[in-house]
This record gives sequence, C-alpha cells and structure tokens, in this order.
Amino acid sequence: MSPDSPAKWTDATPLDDETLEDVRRRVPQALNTFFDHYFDRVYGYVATLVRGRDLAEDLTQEAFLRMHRAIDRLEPGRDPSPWVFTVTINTVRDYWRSRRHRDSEREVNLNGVGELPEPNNASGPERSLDQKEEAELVRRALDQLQPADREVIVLRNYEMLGTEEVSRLLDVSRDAIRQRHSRAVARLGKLYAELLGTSQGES
Amino acid sequence: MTRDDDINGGAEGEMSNSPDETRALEALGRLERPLASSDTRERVRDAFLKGGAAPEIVVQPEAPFRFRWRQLIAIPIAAAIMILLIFGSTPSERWTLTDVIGADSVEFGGAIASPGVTLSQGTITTSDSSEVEVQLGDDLRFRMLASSKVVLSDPPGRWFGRSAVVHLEAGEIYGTTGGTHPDFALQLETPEAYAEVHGTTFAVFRTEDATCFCLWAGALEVTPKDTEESLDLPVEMRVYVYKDGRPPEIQPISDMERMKLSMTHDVGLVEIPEPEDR
Repeated sequence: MSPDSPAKWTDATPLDDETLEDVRRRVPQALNTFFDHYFDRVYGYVATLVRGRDLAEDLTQEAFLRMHRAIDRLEPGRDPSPWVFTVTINTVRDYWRSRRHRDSEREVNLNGVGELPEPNNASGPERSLDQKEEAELVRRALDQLQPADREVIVLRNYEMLGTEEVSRLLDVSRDAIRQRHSRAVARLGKLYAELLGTSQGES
Repeated sequence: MTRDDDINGGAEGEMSNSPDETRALEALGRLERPLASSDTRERVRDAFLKGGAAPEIVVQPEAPFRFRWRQLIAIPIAAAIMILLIFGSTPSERWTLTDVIGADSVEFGGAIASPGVTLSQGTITTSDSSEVEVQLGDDLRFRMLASSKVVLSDPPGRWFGRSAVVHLEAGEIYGTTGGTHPDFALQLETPEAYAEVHGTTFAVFRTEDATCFCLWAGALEVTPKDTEESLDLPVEMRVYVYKDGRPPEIQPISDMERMKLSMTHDVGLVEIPEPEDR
C-alpha cells in the first residue's frame, strides 16, 4: 500500500455522536460528512473484489443508496463502520449471486483471461517483478478465486480484519472462517505461482 | 472495528504458509488500494444525498361518515363531471422531469427546467456531465445519460390510444414501461430505425454509424427505416441498425448493459410529487 492510499477499515475513526444523529435524520451536511468518511473505504473494498472500474463504481453507488435507504436504522452512539461494511459486503454478494455476474464469468471463461503483463527487461527465471507486474499478477490470481475465497482473503489479508471480526461480518463461525481462509490462501498461492511461472517463462 | 493478531497470518497462518503462499500474501499486502476518480466520487455523492428515500406519505385519519343533504346534490353533479371527463375530453398525461443528476437544471426547449416541472412537447439536451430522468404518468420512465438529445412527443391522451413517441437524436437512454396501462405503447425513433416497446425495460443508444436497441425483458419490435422489415428482438439481446444499410446485427447485451438495465427495471416507475406547470 502506498503512503498516500486511503485508510482501510481498521483505520477508521468513528464519527461523533452529534454528526451520527444528524446522519440518521438525513441532514445534508451530515450525510456529506458520512459520505466523505466512508467513500474511499467502500470503493476500495469493492474495487479490490470485482473486475472492472465501471462495475466497482456501480456497486459502490448501489451500496450507498442502500445505506441511505436504511440510514435511520443506525444505532446512536455506536460506530457505524461494521454496519457500513456489512451493507457493502452484501451489495457485492448480491452481485455475485446475480445472473449478470454468472454471465460475465462465462464471458471471461470464453474469452480467456487476457494477456499477461509485459515482462520487464531483466532476463532469467529468477528476475524480480516490478511493482506493476506484481500487482497485475496478484490481481489476476485474486480474480480467479471463487468469490467466497476472494472475500475472506481480502477481508483478512487486505482489509486486515481479524478472524473474529470477519466471522461477525459474514455471520459464519470462527472455525469456518479459519478453514475457508486457509483454503483460500493455499489456492491463491498456487494460482500466483502458476501465473508467475507463466509470466517468467515468457520473459 | 477490531483487529486480531493473527492476520494470516500471525500464529495460525504464517507458520504453516508455503513459500508460494507467503509470496502471494506479501504481494497482496503491497497492492495499492483502488481510488475512484473525483467525477465518480461526486456522482455517487449526489446519488447518495438524493438517495432513493421514499417520499413521505401522510395518512390523514378518516373522518366519521355523516350523511348530509348536500351530498344528494353533489353526487349526481360529480357523476356528470366524470362522464364529461371520460367521454367529453381526453386530458393528457404529463411528461415530468423527475431528476437531474450532475447539474441543478437542464435545457428544455431552449429554456431551463428543474426537477419537478412538467414538460410539453419539445427537446431535452443533457450536457457532457449531467443525466436526466423523465417520467410519463405511470406508463414510462427513462434516464438520459450525458450528451444525449431527445425529442418528446405531445403527451398521450389519458383514456384512449395511450401511446407516446420518444425520438433519440443522440446519446443513450435507459427506460422502463408497464405501469397500470398494459395497452400503453411506446414508439422509439432514431434516424436509423423505429421500435415499438410493450411493457419492458430497454436501452437505446446511438453511435456514429448505427442505432443500438437493447432489451432486458418484454417485447421490442425494431424496424430499420431503410428496409421497413421488422424484427422481434429476443430478450437480453441487442440489435445494431446501421446507417449505411448493412443488415442489422443481433448480439447478447454486454455485462454493463445488463447491470444498468436490471437496475432500471428494479427501480421501475417512481411516485411523482404534485407537478408545477411550466
């Protein structure tokens, strides 16, 4: 993560109670503050999980519309971050369950996953990857994971949430999260190694 | 939000991770967080602030019924007025500008119009950064994307021959029909083709050399102007009708179109507040 990157969920400091009360009453200025507080986090999470900027933008908008509709249900005096995160997670999950996602997956399978990134000028199988290549490869590996695996690995290793927190957010037992995470890490490692081999084989 | 010490992790993860897994997780940890453009941020902010909040409906308590002699006179008069309304005239539905996104107002017929106004026949133009939603009574709602130009027909009669014509000169629209009048027919027209829409969600856009109609559900009959040979577009397909007379091309709709169409379909028709005339 670059130093300029917006904070992840774990860095979020809660909004004060007065602002939250105004948010619940949909006071425009408070809604603006709420939006600025969470937008980068919501977009960052969504865009890490789904393929394509347009889709990430649409799902982010959908998540915020859902928040607006239910914002009067925010509990006074409680940090809204878990609620915001839950709405966001559910929005992405709804998309994954939708027919349009299944169709897009089919399209990708038919069309292949596209070209691998151009290798840098260094030669030999042990050459180091530059940052762009590395990012492209790990994104590619993430995209090839099953949505449930992708979700748990992004929550644990990218958003840096603990097992307990992920367990609450996804409403799954801690043991199940541990198992799913362990499986997801193994798959990611295998996919990444395969992609790395392909990329270095081309150079 | 809390965080554990075992971010895969910690004691439970890293100890057992293979070199490949460790390398992948390190690469993931170094991945830059995606940032939205400022345009996107403002567009989503605008949608969030306007929000989809349902208009407040105040239900007045019902007054106890009391029979009054004046009602003896009022009832026949009301019946006569109803008969006059139904058979003596065909008052129009109204085009209503229901939303403007990315601007406070929009140009309509050379003047400035704001959300809530009713529109008569005329041309609406969106700038390169604004979008507009227009609704016709409870029959049709459509969204014009940025840089679009649409000509609205005269509003249809209320009772008979319910139909409306929307002429797309440029840009892109997403719409849905099918309110309480199943016989309502929408005629879409572009320089290349006509289409008749019944109870469905659709999109139309113009490119440099063609018009494309997309169908989400329902029925859409497309007629290229040069051949006058109609075709029924299958659901979840799109058809390009070319300016240069090439045969129309039917393809599956794209993922993006599918998403936008499904959202258009899900929103459906919106409740229109009491209009202000212009």
